[in-house]
Amino acid sequence: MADTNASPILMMTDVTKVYQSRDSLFGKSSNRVVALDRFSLAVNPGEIFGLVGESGSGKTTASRLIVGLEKPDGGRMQFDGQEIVGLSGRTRREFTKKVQVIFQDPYQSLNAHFSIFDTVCEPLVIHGIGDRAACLVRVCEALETAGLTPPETYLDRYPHQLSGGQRQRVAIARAMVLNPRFLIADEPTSMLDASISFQIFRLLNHLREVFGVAMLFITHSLAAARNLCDRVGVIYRGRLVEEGTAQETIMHPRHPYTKALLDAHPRFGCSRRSGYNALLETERPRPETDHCPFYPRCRLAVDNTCNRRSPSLKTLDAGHRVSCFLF
Amino acid sequence: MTSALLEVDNLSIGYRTAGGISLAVDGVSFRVDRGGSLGLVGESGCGKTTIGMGLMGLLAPNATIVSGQVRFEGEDLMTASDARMRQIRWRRISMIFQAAMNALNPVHRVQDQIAEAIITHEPDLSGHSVAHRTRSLFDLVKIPESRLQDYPHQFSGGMRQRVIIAMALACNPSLIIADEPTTALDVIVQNQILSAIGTFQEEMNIGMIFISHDIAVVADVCTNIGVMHAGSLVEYGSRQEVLDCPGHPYTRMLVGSLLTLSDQPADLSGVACAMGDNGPATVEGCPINSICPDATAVCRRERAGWVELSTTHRVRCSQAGEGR
Repeated sequence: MADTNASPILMMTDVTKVYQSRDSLFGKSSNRVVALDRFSLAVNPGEIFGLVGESGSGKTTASRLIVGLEKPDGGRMQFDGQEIVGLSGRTRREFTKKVQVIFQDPYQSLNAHFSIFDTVCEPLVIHGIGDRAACLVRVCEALETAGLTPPETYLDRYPHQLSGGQRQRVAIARAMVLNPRFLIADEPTSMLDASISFQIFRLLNHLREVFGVAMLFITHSLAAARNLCDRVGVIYRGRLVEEGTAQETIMHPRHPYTKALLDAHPRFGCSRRSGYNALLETERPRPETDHCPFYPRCRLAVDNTCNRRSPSLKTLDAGHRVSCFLF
Repeated sequence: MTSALLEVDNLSIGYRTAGGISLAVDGVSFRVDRGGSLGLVGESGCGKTTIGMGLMGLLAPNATIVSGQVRFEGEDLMTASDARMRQIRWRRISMIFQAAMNALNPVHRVQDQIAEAIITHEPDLSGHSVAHRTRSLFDLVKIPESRLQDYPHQFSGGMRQRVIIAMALACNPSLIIADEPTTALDVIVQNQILSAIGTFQEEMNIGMIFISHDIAVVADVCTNIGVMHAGSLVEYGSRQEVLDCPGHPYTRMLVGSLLTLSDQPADLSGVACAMGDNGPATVEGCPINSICPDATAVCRRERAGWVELSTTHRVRCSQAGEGR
């Protein structure tokens, strides 16, 4: 289980990322898209932190910034107390060894020309670990960890010979082969059937329990976040709007956006309709001035407040934090 | 309400492969009432989409209908000529396709694409009434009229899916086949699309076959549910019957693997249940006998027949109804 007293393994403080579309042909004003807006987050060692939000809310941008695929435009990011923006050379290599990613789409994230052995072995080759015999042992261990048994039968196969669930397990084996301390799982089951998803969730939970890996679990499914994560953060338009334990945040949401997400969730298995009804049917125009990111869609918004200023995160109780003027 | 709109009887569809015909749909029977909705649930590869394509007469060239009867509004679709199928398709039966992102033509305005669907199937209609109908369709799926002139790339994924729905409704069909219409969308948009589908289905009294791998989504929109495994229906009944007392072990596994927001979190520890291969059945006996907790010697030897649990609820399992 998560050790909440230890210092966070990953810290993002006021991270901002702006995408600038190219100037148009006639040199008119270019479009700025703020993907992350003063976004802060902390993941403790051994915990699964769920990042929940709809598409386009900046979840994937956050993960790309952490592994250094993009550079932030502002803010600080620390892993194990060490600044990770602008790492290069050997220090970056050491960092990438500890942090691995499982991507969303197992149909695209595996190289079709690589056998399963080559795929899972590649991180070892990149980091120059072990000779071929040692690699073989580690690859087999990783495949077994990911539930592909017996591993020998998979080594010489190619991705097209595997089902979607098996491919995602290969991607997990590839991520685990370096014994990382931190995993980023970016919607690892959105391309898979519900029954296969369940197995992948169990596997991720197993990895956390046995190897103590901390995880950033990115999803748009509240049910998955609730069942797998220790804590969750809800992100809307690049801002963290609510954060707390999974149980507290999802079963007793405070922020109108979290309530809207919950309303939209299929009602299956719980007849109790939450019916927060927090979402406006027709959006309000977006104000020119600084405003709450959810103001245009929020039924509960208060004029002259929510459209004038942007709320900051307020601590309510037991680490439950909300960014809303209603609290 | 109770007159059958579509009756499918013992439908089998196979794909020609090097090793002979491989059955993707194996002896499936169901019916859809006028204004009723049937959800077909199963894992990928169980033949759900093949059924939809077979009903539309849009099977791949290497697919063949092996046996079975399909009666739609009293007419036998299996013997209908290509010309007749073209008349029925879209005017009487239409389809909402899966990846909506790719189903629209990027170089035409959405208004023109909907108009095209209307004009192709109803060439006698005046330009004025085509425009009028296009506007009312947009109204129905709740897209502002000001967006009629836009191109697909100016729409979000959810709006594009609504355009696809509007297009499926363009010729007032009496049956709509929705093939995973919300699979690539996130929860809020999914909820909006599902409620849009529910509204038109009720208002226009349209029959619907809703194909999905997500039993939670099906439970939200359908009155009847058919559970498919390896090309066959294994359970069929009303929503309450199937979800509240699932009679087939496979249905219980599907329901059990679903993460919900009920008060008790699911148990994620322990060994994952093996759901195994879901391709067409090749072995003797019940196709799930190797993973079924209740399998007996009979299950390994022969395929179970249908067991009626009630007049509307039937299960294809030899253990069903015994002590349950």
